[in-house]
Amino acid sequence: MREYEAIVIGGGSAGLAASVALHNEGVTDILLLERDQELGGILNQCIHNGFGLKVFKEELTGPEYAERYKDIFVEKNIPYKTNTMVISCDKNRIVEYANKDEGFVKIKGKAIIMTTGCYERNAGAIQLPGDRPSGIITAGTAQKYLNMDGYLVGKKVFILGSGDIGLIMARRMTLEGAEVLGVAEIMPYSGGLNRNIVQCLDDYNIPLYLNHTITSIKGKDHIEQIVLQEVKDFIPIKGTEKTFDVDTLLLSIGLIPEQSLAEKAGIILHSKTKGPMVDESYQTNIDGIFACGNALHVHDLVDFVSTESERAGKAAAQYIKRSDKNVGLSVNTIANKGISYIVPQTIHPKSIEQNLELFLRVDGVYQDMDLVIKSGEKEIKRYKKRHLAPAEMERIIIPKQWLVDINHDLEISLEAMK
Amino acid sequence: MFDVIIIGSGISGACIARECAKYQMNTLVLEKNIDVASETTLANSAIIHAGHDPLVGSLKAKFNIIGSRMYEQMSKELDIPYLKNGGMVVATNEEEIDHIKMLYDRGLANGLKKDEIALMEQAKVRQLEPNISDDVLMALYLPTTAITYPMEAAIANLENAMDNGVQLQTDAEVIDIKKNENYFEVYTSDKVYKTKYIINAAGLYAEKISDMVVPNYFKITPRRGEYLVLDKDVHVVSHVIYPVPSKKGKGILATPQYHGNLLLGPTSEFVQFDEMKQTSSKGLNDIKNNIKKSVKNIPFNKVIRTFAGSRPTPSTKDFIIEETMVKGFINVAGIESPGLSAAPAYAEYVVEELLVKNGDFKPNTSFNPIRKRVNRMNELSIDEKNILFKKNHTYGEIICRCEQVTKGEIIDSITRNAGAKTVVGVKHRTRAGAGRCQSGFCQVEVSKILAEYMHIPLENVLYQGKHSNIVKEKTKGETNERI
Amino acid sequence: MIKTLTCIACPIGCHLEVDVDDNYKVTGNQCKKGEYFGKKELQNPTRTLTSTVIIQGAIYPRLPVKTSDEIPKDKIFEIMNCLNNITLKSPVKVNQVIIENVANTGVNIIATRSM
Repeated sequence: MREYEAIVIGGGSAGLAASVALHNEGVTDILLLERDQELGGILNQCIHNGFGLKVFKEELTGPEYAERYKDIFVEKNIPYKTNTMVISCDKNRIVEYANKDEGFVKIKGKAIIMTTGCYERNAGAIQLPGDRPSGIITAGTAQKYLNMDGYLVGKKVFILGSGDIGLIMARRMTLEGAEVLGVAEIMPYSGGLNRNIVQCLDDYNIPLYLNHTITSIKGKDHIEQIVLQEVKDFIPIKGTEKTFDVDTLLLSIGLIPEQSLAEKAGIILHSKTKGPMVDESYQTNIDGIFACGNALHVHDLVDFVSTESERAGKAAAQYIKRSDKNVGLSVNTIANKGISYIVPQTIHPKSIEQNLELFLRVDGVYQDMDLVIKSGEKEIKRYKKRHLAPAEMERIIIPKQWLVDINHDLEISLEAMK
Repeated sequence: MFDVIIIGSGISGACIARECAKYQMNTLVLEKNIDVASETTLANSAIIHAGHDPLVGSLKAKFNIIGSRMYEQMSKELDIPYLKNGGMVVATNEEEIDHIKMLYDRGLANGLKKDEIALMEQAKVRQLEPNISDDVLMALYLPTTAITYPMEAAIANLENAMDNGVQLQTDAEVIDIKKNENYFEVYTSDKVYKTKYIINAAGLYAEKISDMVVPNYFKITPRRGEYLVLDKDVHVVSHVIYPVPSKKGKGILATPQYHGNLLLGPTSEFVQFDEMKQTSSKGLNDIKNNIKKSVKNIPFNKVIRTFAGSRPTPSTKDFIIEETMVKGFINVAGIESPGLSAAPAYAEYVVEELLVKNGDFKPNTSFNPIRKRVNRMNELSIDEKNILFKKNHTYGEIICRCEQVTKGEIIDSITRNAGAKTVVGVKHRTRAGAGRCQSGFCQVEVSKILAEYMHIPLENVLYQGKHSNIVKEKTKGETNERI
Repeated sequence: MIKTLTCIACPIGCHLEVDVDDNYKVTGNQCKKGEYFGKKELQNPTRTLTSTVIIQGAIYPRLPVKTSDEIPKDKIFEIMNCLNNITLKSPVKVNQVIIENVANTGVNIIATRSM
């Protein structure tokens, strides 16, 4: 069985950045395994703008961003296979994959980086009542049909969920000739960025129904109608039903890290992020298995995926070269008032190199708050934040010297501005 | 002129078709939908019941016991999923304990042997099933209870029947039947078929078909049952857990499925025909509330799918399996639970007692009972997978990541007799699209494979029903055909 | 008259107030981009358009493209029409000009990936 220094599972933005980082650290015996026919992952179908503002200081489309990383990756001659599906990974870092040229093969890695991306929440997960006709499809799948294969899945569309994918598809389908009748959002605020509400909905007069959800689906073979209803505290309000004739219902109801490999590998998943629990080097509870990108926690900006994955790649390289020092004391990160989750879930204050990269999401929309980081009785830092929302992940860089002596858990919370 | 036309390709029609293939009969199966076995057989609990529950002396009881014992052999011949994991009827109070004791007696009276049925004390129950609810005091243990995959059971029977000469016509709804002197004329919207015998195995529509020949013979009332499907990584129970049954039926069960998912349900409601496949928030909540009586620690956040199935409840309260007063017209109707369990038995009865005895049919000496093995890659070892791969490289291309289904399996499911013609048809035969992401990843590829092997453009690929096209049209007015 | 609008220049999405009668003076912005956007949006709103065009002989039948700069918002569908009427042949390089001066806007349509 061939053993590699590093096996990278998934060749999207995370896998590409992690591989390049590994290579930059002198690890060259890498094998990247990608299930699609080309590298780039989901970026290939995200033909809209909004990528690269932080990393490249320009506004790029998904394919442009992907191509920049693909070029660096290919230039370094890092070995990779496409049209190759990873079937399993166990705690001894033995990976089984399959493709039409080699069949089923087992390989081993000194380190494994899981960059398997995420999948879309679907109708079953929210138990949409009513008929089960065709014409109900997740926004990402519809996006693939449209942007890659050139097919419109329908022409009279309603969208459930106001996350960015739903908003982007509202615009995209309108531009290609469909009529988008509206977007329903069960929360009192949109799950997507304000700029997308403007340039995807307002620009095309597509109504956004906040505090609404779809309570029924009608259609024999194919969807014919949806019933939209207002909600209060998630309970549908009688008498507010509105029926729409449609031929397509697009679901944009959330993304979940793709972790079907986790169970067999013994990787412990975090209940909030649904991705692995990791420390500051992005290593999971299994020795030598790292995770980053959407497979770890779902990001909004690909730029953050790249920085996170670079760190993970670098940390994996140190692990492989056995140059990771004795890690020392570990503390947990605690999401307190106002904070939904924090990644990483544990840190080793004494083994942080230059600084700690922390990602977090808040649990509601806030204006003018202090983001407070403390450990035990000591307040480490207080950041003033004008605007915070669940749809906008925060990235915080904490210099090593602020953390090196802490020996209590790191707590983060929101407080009223001082 | 056909000898036999079987109306309906559900588990009844399918098992009967295979029995017919054992004789020299010119047999045709007519199926209303695009795919076979897509109504009641498709959406139920998939349980082969032991035979403890039907009333003593009923056809249900007689055929349940015999039928359930035929499944093991049939599953080997036809390569059908079959898992004998056992079942328990759990009692949570004195009244329910009396009921399961009554079921114990009934089971024995129906023909279950002493080692096939037992009353089990709660300590033993909890040892076998740690997640059984704290209210459970005693259980009726039924070790011969098994689970299968009903649509595959039907498809396998049909495929084997077709391999042995039986013909199948799908998208062929029977709209009228006329009786002549010695034969019937069976009308679909575009053809007329002549046949000496008709077997009405039309499930929910059996009354409608029967009325065409023998008006007002019986009534079928559709009953809807809603279900919740939980993810494969949920390991809560390993036996089929039945509550104490009520007038409405067996109640809300927790059933581990053959492929590893946990099935909860069904509810039981009388509904209109057009509501039969609809799920409701009330129904789904009823399941969650009622199952807690029998089983605890169910992670409801792991629901990946919901569906509704319908059963035809007959006015006679028992199976209707008999030749009517119109000679040659045989009803096999009112097949609700334990229909799946009983089907191989009453199929044999219908063909041997009602057809062969009357019609003087000779055995088909070249009948081959064995169905070509279905390759299920995710059940094989790596070496077994590579042996298949070497013969055919499409077995190395994984299309459905969640269930690890290869292109080779998908192509096979389309090209066999009684093969898939729709995305859902592929799902039921191969599991592609039945996993955690519910075809979010693989639907595009599965549709393309259907387009290629059915020689149709992608716009004509169907999801399930006749007008359920996967995509509407190409953008930008592009018209040249491309796959 | 004061008009209110949301700035789309960056993810914050400031709520702007623009006084149409006072030389389109902008308040509520946190940076210069917001001021620029507020003035422009009410007089000459522009957008970047991203879409696809038909391509033959490539890994996929659609090539993603974008306008090389912002174009007037009211020209979006006219430009979509121009895009829908061409068929490219691969290979194409990222940033390659696909259409020059599309719909007389002075802006080009460029490829956003190599295919």
